[in-house]
Amino acid sequence: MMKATLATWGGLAPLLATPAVHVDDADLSKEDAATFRSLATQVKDQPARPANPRARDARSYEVTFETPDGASTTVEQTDATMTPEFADLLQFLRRHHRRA
Amino acid sequence: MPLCCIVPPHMLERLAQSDSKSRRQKALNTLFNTYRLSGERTIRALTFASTSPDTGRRSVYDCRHGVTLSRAILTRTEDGPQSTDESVNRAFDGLGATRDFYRQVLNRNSIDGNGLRLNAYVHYDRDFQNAYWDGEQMVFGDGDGEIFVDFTKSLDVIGHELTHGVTEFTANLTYHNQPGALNESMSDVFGVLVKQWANQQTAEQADWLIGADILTPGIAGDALRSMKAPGTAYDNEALGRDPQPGHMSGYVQLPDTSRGDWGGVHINSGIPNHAFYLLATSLGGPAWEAPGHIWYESLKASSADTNFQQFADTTYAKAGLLYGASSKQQKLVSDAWDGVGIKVAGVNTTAVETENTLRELVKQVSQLTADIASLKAAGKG
Ligand SMILES: [Zn+2]
Repeated sequence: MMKATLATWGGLAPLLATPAVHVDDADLSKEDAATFRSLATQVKDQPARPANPRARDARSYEVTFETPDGASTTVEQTDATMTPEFADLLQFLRRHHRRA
Repeated sequence: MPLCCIVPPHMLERLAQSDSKSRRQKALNTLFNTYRLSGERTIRALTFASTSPDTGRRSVYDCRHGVTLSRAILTRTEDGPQSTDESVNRAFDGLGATRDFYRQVLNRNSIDGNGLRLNAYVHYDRDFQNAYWDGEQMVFGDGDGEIFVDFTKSLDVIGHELTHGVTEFTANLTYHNQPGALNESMSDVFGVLVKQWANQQTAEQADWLIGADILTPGIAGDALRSMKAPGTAYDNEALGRDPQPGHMSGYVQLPDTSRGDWGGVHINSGIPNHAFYLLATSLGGPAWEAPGHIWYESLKASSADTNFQQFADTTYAKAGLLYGASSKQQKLVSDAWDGVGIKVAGVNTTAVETENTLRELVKQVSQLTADIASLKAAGKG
């Protein structure tokens, strides 16, 4: 069982309201839930990446994972330094939030 | 005798065509300074013609919806054919318009002043609702189709991002609080000037909006920002309300964190943005002429920690230098800052800076005179 919340801020017009995205694996098909857990594991295991100090207008993304025992983990990345795995996770979260 | 006549203009023009690179550059610098000091514009064509076309060469890459730039495919080059992908061609044309604006209007050779190559990446990520400058190149998203369309559709956004590069190579304004808001404002100012210049629009004809072309028609809102009326670009459920102030009385104090937009750099930029709009519309005509030149010279004279007051004082000094102390241009610069709640204090600075620049010019002219003498000697020999 796992939930994830994505918060987005920054960018060319940073105060445009960007609603949070929520995904709960209880709402997902068996297959999607497996993909979700695998993406989450990959991202959580990645070492933190420092933001690029020369970047301008980049967005920041924070994903908070919560498990039923109350444990939570937060991973933050930005446009100019994002890993492909983190990008895959963002796409997954956005896609599945919309369907929920 | 005015300084511009010590070396006859036709000799400077001959030197400007010279085979010696350093001689040519010196002549061009002097011609350009002369043109700036006298307010004439006829030298532009010559300066432009003598600048090598091999500068600021463009490359556009297709990210194919990935986020790793090193995996993107090179899709269009400076001399290569058009792409079948409209995003690629729009990015290519936008880079070209921005490069040409800096070269032809401000005599700047690409964003570093030294012909730096211009690289753009399109189709970054999926539904990506942003465009950014990563310190070396610019990156465009396709938008999500609900709020934003393809970011390559906005020429002012392309000009905005590339100007972040120009700022980095000049004042290098730190991206926090007032210097950060000035950094953002430079990008908005020169971004709209690229658009106005490309469309040959006067200050009166222009809409003074940033990002008007990237909002979907379904979104009730004009743009991301309005330099004419900061705080009015949008107001709706999907986007919230435009938070920009257009006057110091509305300055927004935000934490200097990424969530606080580093002290509101995209928010408080509305104040210097509006000052530029006030100057441009009070002077009338093309905003890239006197207003653009005053702002550009002031950007080059600024440093990492320049704040609003210091920048305003610099624009006043530069207006005096370029167009004369007590000129209409200088008076209207002061009025423009007054209109956003900033009183300029710069009369003495103008006198000192004018003197320094004249001294520099005298030095260049003596050097050129020596060069001419050696040319003559070589001709006789
Ligand atoms: Zn910016």
